[in-house]
Amino acid sequence: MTALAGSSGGCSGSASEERVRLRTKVALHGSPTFDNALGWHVELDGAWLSIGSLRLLEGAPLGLRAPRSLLDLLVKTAHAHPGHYHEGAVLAEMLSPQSVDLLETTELDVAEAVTGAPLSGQLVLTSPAIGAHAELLDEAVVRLEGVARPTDPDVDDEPRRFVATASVAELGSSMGTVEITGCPYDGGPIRAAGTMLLGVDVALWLDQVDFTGIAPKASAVSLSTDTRAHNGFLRGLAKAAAYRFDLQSDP
Amino acid sequence: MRENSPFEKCAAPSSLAGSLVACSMLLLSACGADDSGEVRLTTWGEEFIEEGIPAAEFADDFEARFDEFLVVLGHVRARNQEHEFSVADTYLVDLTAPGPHELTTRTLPEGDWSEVEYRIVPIEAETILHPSADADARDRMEAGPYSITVKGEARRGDERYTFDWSFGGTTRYTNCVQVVGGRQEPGFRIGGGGRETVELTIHGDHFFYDDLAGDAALRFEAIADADADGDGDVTLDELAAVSLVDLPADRYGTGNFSGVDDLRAFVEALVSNLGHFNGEGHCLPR
Repeated sequence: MTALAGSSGGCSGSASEERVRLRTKVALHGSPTFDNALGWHVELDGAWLSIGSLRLLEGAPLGLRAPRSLLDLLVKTAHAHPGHYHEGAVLAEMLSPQSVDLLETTELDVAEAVTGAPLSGQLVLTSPAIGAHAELLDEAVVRLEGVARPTDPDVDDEPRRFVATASVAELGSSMGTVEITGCPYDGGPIRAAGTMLLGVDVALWLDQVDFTGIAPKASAVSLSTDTRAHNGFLRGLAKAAAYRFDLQSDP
Repeated sequence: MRENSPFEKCAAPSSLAGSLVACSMLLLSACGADDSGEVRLTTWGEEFIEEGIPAAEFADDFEARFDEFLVVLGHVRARNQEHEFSVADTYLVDLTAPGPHELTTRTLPEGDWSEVEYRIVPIEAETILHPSADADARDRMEAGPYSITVKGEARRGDERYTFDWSFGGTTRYTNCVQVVGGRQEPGFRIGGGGRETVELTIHGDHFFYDDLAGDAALRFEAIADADADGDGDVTLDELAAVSLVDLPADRYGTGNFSGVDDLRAFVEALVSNLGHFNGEGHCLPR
């Protein structure tokens, strides 16, 4: 089966597969203001992420979904469930680390790719961060700043200004990187040069965060580690569904 | 209730992309082929469902056994570039009875049947009662209607917890592959005059996975801790009361599943991963 050979370089593809190059862009998926599941309206002032690499993979994402197309039913797929995940061959990869501001669209390095039909994406977060926002992120791989207010107008509660950060260690890794695999891929087959898009759904990161425990102060308060709110944030970061990959063909 | 019914020689397939007429022609071709072999359709819950899951398999020293493992499965379809074959029936089976369990044997044209799928579905009026299950089980499944009911017990030292959970919903297991010598091979092959067994394998231990993605361990502790009334029986309602936010961040990850925020939703999501193919083979659940 065709594959980029990953970090080892080279290509083991068949003659029918062609190498192509994809531009790569990262942006926020959705709005920077949203309501979460626990009754808080959140307005983001800033969202930064330390990206190590991005990949498109043959393996189907975990989780039930309806087939998107006839091709989806016919293509060979890898088979996955907990404990038996097969990510399949790498069809595209961008390997240049970069820190990004999610409130604006950032173009990353070019991804090397081969023609084929990806079914999922993979994101690697890396620490320490590199690039324009490295100093702000410091040892963290993600940093959010914003304010949360109760969605219920009858709840007389002060807004919570917050800062939420997470390190690779807090995300369960001791290797300096965190790999999030099996992310949804909404694009079609790679047939020619185009643009690989990553949309980060920050609303999903904060969907299970209860801000009640955050002190209402004029200055921002950090979500403390080992709290319910921070646990909810870490769980959100680990959700593959929060990272939506797509592909745009060149005109 | 159909105690036993012959399988349709040529069940009408639903068309994937072409017309019904085209598919029917292919089907007639399949049924009229001279070079053929037999496919024996079975299901099995393996030792974990029949005998229990030993403590060595769990990361938290629990052990578990199933007293009842009812599943409704069927709607088997197989196809290749020339032919399509389907078994329209579904069966109610209790996988705690010693298996593998015979479902049916059919004659098919020889060749590679590379696209195979089956379904676990809520019990239907036409569902065939397998000898491993009884009429009482059928009545209870129809009350849902349910596709899966599991009843059992988990122990750790002096701790003892029972569970009796039923689930509805349909899972379609598509693109089934079998693992042969470490390699994945799609579907199955029928040799001329040969006989091939196709097993719809159910992995009961997956009910206790602690992650919906990637590497997962078997754990019961969080389920035991959900027993809010302390009666030793963990209900689905009690699981629903446990937010995943209250569990350690490195366990019960939800991967690409959306809306899985409590322990009941987590276990319900695991249900969609029970179905396998010829032992350790996998299918793509939809």
